[in-house]
Order: sequence, then structure tokens, then C-alpha cells
Amino acid sequence: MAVVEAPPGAAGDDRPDPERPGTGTGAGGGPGGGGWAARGLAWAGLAFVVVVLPLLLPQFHAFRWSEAVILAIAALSLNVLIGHAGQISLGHQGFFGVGAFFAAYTVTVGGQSFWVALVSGALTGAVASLLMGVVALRIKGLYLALVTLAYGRLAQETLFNLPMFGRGAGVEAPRPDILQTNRAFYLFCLLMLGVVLYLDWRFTRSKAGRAVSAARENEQVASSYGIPVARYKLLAFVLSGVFVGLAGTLYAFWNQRVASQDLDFELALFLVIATVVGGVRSRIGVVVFTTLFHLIPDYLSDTFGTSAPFLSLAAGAFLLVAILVYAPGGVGQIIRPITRWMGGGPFARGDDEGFVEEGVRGRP
Amino acid sequence: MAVLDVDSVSIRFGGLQALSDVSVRVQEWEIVGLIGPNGAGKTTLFNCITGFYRPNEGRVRFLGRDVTDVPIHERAASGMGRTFQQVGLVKGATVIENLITAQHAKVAYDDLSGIVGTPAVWRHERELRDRAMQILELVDLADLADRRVAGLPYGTMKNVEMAAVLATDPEILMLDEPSSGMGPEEAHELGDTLLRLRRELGLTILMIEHHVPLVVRVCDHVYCLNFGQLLTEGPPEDVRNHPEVVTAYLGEEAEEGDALAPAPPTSAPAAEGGGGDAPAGPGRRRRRPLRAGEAG
Repeated sequence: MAVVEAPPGAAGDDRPDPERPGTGTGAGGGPGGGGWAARGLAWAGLAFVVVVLPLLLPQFHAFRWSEAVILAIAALSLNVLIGHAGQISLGHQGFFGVGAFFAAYTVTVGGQSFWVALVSGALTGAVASLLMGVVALRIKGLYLALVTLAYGRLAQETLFNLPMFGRGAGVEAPRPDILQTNRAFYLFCLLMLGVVLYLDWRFTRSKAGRAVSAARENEQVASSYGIPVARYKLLAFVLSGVFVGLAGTLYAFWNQRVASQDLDFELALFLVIATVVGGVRSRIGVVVFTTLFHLIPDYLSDTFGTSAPFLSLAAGAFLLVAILVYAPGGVGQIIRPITRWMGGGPFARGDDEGFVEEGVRGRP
Repeated sequence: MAVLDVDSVSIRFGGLQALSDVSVRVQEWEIVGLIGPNGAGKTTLFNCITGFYRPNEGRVRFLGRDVTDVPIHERAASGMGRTFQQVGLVKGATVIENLITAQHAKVAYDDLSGIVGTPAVWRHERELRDRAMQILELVDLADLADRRVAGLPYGTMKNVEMAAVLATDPEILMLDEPSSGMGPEEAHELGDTLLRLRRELGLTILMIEHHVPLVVRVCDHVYCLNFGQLLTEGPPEDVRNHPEVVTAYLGEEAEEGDALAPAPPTSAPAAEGGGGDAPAGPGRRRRRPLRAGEAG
């Protein structure tokens, strides 16, 4: 393919950004100095709340927030399947647990370092997910949902109770010295979330993500574009498995122990709700909603002195219906004006029809 | 060497013989038409050629290579571009995203470096976008680049689909009813576009088409299918006037004087002699004696 001169106005941009054209930015692209100052302030405020505040509050807050970040990574993993690939997993706690257990095992029994465990957790998550991907090539829709559901339960009941995993008593997962404090561990989780967000973003903007997306919408068209559909379905499962394996690994070291009772169906359900209400294919929406959906009930039960985990699931079911009716793009769609504005665009809805139509394409 | 050589292809679906012993050859630079009434097996033949169906008998050769057992995406990557009767596009994506996706097989980086995002990837992505834009300009769709496909009119979608197939860099362009949903003027413009594509890009084209003026104008050679069999082939004017083709399209009512072709000699008027009502079809003619017999 010959390198040609860029057509005027079409390829001047640094990277493909389907949102920029046609938004009516008005003043020839980019806000003025005052606009940038306000945006800078907003970014600084966000950075303060996310990075600095947990370091100022008592350690226990950082501990709690770490879990929220870990769950956000797991929800992003599910977003790869539900959002990008159009597949479903109701057994995501299984992959999460596979990562967690193997990572803990690598350190406690294998005597390896935390960093090796991080890689082994992500890889075993990927392998487990790849196996499910092979199943998904044969089974679709509701039946796949049932298979994944059964897989998650089976993993919890049998795999995680194997002798090598402590027969139900669980496996210890001591943190390395450098991440010993909850604050340090929180920052590390944030870093990992950043890495996952970056990889997911690059995925959607490159060959592999486009292939997965096309295969989701229309397999026949995808294959006549020269895309090996089965291969890219598997790739989506592998990527999802890497993310959730990583989340599981972080979870094991966050808790410093992993046991099968922590990995029940409730976790899978939480992740499905978090992904769909957060907004399929909307990274920022998924992260924002997952963290809030996890933290708000915790802080509420602190205040009111009650602890009712089922309440958050009931609220989740309600939110699910509300989202389906009013904002198919989820939280990602609702906060779209804010994310656009912070990215240098106008404070406007912009191209929303993408959410309403069959092809939901929330792209923060 | 023929670009495409379909050699005695047959396919059955249960008890239905959808294609029997069909052979089609398309030479380089040719525009070949594939016509025939509904249900004749035209799209089935397309599906056999592109790999969506595996024929029970016969071989498909493309650019001299036997591709009968090659999967769809590999045939597409080796230069078989096709459109679909029901517009084949990723409808949730924008026009240009479709054209970038369609260049999949030409992307010079691997999946992993795409996900990690190496500098080479950024450069290639820009090239893909530029090339997509070039193709859109070639078919006068550049101003729709960032429009979502789902919101476009049907005829426009058809054009976008053709642009997307061009983005796969095909050797042969296989079009399934490209003029459907278009008025006569748009169909004429489509003819101009096809001739221009052949001239400028050196494309070979095989198309299923019902619009007779378009077929006659652009095609070098026409194949006519009926009930899964090759009825006839030849230059468009000959095929159009071939008595069996006329019968296949119009049934025996052709004698009622259609402008398409001179009426073939038939013995139909003799059979109609007894009845008084004019629009007697073959079915009704057969039934009437039966009723008469019952009455008597």
C-alpha cells in the first residue's frame, strides 16, 4: 500500500478519533485559556480524590478502596467479553479465582516472588478463559450463559477446594515488602488499573479490537473482510482472562489470603451488573460505576450500622432496569458530557444515537 | 488464465438440488453478469464461490489456485471481495471505521503490538485511515466518512458496502444485486462507477443483477441460471433474447407481447380455445377439465 498525501481535513489528527468530527466544537478546535484552566482544575481535583485523599485518610480507607479498584479491573475484563465480543460470562468469579489461587500458590508453595505471581495469575486466568472460549465457539447465547454459570459454581465447589489450595481453608498470599502497607498497595492497584485501561483502549483502536467488534455485529461480514472470526473470539476471551486473572491476583494479595467462600456467584453477578449499568464498551463508565457501586454501600453501612449485602444487589437489579429503559449506554452515557469536556471537547452529549441503536459504542 | 473458474459445482440442501453442474469462468478485466429468476441459485453460487457453502461436487479455482476447501476469510484475504443481498456492513460503526476494518488482511502489524501500541502501530493506523479516505473519495462518499452506517439510506448503504469491499483490495468484485433499492438514474450512475472501477483499478467484476439495462450496458458476458442449472451464456444481447431465458423470467405468458423479446412460438393459443376468460394460466387450464368431469 502506497503512502499517500493525507486528504485535507481527514487525517490531520494524530490518531483516529471518531468523536471529534461533527461535534460542533465551534472555535476551530480546542477551548481557550480559561477553558483549559478549568479543565486543569478538574483534573487536579480528580487526581486529589483518587490518589492523594486515600493517603491522607486512615489506612483502612485505602484498604477498602483497593478492593473497589480490583473489582473495576474485573469489570473491565467482563466488558471485553460482553461489550467488545458480545459474549456472556456468568461465571467470572471462576476466572477471577483461578488467577487468585494460582498467584497465591506461586508465592506460598512455589516460593516465587510477588512479581512472578502477578504474571502467573494473569496467565492462568487467560488459559482458563481460553478454554471457555473454545466452548463459546460451539455454544451461544443462553446456553453459553448457563455453561459459564455452571463453570463458576463448579470452580468454587471443586477446583478451589483441591488439596493444593488448602481444601477450602484457602491459601496464604503475603504481600511483598514494598507493598506491605495498604496505601502502597492501593497505589499499585491504581497503577494496574491504568495499565488495563490503556491496553483496553489500544485494543479497541487497533486491528484486533476492530476485528472482534465486527465479528460481534456480523460474523459473515467480518469473515468476508478477511477476518478469521473464531480466532478473534478466542483472542477476546484471552484478553478478558488476562485482565480478570490480574484482578484475581491483586485480590489474593489485597486480602493476603484467598479462600473459596470469597468467590461465590454473588461476585459474578456484581460484575455483570457493574459492567452493564456502568455502560458496555464505556471504559470510564464501567470504572466509575463499579467503584461507586462497591464503596457507597460500604460507607452507608458504616453510617447506619447495618450490613446487608443483598441490598446492593437489589439496588443493582433496580438500576439495571432503569438503565435499560432510560440510558442504554449506562453510566458511561450519562457522564459523557463530563468526560468529553475533560478531554478538551465541549460540555455536550454529542453523538448519542450510537447508544440507542443496536451498536452501542461508548468510547470515552 | 481465468481469474475465477467455477468447475461443475453442485450442491444439495436435503432433497433440494440447489445447483447442479454449474460452470462459470470469469476472465481478467471482464464484467460478468449472473441473471436468473428468484430462487434460481444465484446467491447460492456466490456462497459456494466465497466459501459460505461447501459444494457437494465440483471445484472452485481462484487465480489458478483450488480454493474449494479454503475458509472464507482466507479467500477474502486472497482477493475475493463480495457484497451481500442484505447490506453487509458493520452497522453500528461509522463509514470510515468499516473501511478501516475491511483492510484487516492488509494490516502490517500483529495483534499483540496493536494492543501494546508500538510507534509503528500509530503510523500504520494513520495509513489505514488515509487509504480508507482515498477510497471514499473515489466513490464520492468522502463527506459521509464519520456518519454511522445504521442511519444511512438503503441505496447509500449499498454504495458504502461496495467501498468497504474495495478497501479489502480485491482482485475480483462480486456484487449481489448492487442496484437493488436504486432508481433508474442511480442504477445508471452505478453502471458508470463499475466501468470506472474496472478502468482505474483494473478490477474484474462478477455481479448478480436484475436490472436489464444495466446488465446489457456494462457486462461483457452473461450467465443465466434457472432452477439451479445453467440455462445459457453469452453476450448480453444474445442472452436477453434467448427464448428459454424469456420463458424462465416471464413464464408462458410471454406471448402476451412483452417488449423484452419477440414472442417465442408456442402452442398456448390452441389450448386456450375452449375457455372464455382471457388470463388463463397453465395451472388453471389443467384444473378446469377436472371440474367439468366432476360435474358431469
